[in-house]
Amino acid sequence: MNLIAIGIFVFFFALITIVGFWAVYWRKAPLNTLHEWGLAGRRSGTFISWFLIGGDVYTAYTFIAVPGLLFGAGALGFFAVPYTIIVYPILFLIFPRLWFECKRNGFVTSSDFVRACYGSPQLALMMALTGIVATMPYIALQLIGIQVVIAGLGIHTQGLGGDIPLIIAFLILAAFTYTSGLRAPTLIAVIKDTMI
Amino acid sequence: MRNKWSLLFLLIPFISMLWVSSYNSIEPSWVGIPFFYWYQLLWVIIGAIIIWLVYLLTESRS
Repeated sequence: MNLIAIGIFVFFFALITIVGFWAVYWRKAPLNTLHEWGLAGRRSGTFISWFLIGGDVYTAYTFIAVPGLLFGAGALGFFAVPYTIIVYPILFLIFPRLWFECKRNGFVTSSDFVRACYGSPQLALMMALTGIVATMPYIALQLIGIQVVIAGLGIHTQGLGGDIPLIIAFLILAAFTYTSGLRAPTLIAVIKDTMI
Repeated sequence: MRNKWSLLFLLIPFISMLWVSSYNSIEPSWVGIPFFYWYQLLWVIIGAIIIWLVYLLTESRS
C-alpha cells in the first residue's frame, strides 16, 4: 500500500464527488425537464462543450488500455492514433449538422432524431436499445479501468470482497449523475481535462 | 456552405494514414523515435490543421 497515492486518490475522488453533487446548483434550473437533466439546458457553449467532449473522448481507455496494449503487443496498439486522425474529419462533417438539426427541433437523444427523420417509433426504440447495449461493454471497460487504478494503489481487488471499492465508486458516480444530470459530468470533465 | 469543394481536403488524412506502407519504416528516425511513430504523431497535428483550414473555408459567417 502506498499511503501518498491513496491520499491523492481519495482527495480527488472526494473533490469529484462534491463537485458532482454541487453541479445541481450550477446554472440552476428545474432538472425535472429532460433537456435540463440530459443536456444541461443546452447552454454549455463552445468552451464548456470542448471540455465535456474532451473528457468523454479521452478516458481510461486512452490512458490505461491503449498504452497497456502498446506495452504488451507493441506497434499494434498504435492503431488508436491513425484511427483518431481519420475519425475527426468524419465527425467534423456529421456533428455540426446533427447539432444544428437537434437544436432547431428540440431533440434530446439520437432516438428523437431517428424518429423524426424516419417517422418510425419502432426504429427509435431499436436505436435506444442499441445505444444502451452498446454502452455496456464501454462501461465495463471503464470499470476495469477504475479497478486497475484501485489495484495500483495496492488494495486487494480479487474476489467479491475486492469489488467493494469499485461498487462504492460506481454508486457514488451513479448517484450524482442521477441528481445532477449532464451538469455533473460537464463540471467533472473540466477537472479531469485539467488533470490530464 | 461556401467553398464546398474544400471538403475534399478532408480526404488527405485518410489517404496518408491508410497508406500504411508509405510510413512503415524505422528510418528516418528522429531523436531515437522510429519514423513509423513520429510520422503518425505528426499527422495528429497536420490533421487538426487541415480540419481547421476546411472550417475556415466552409464557415459562412466568418
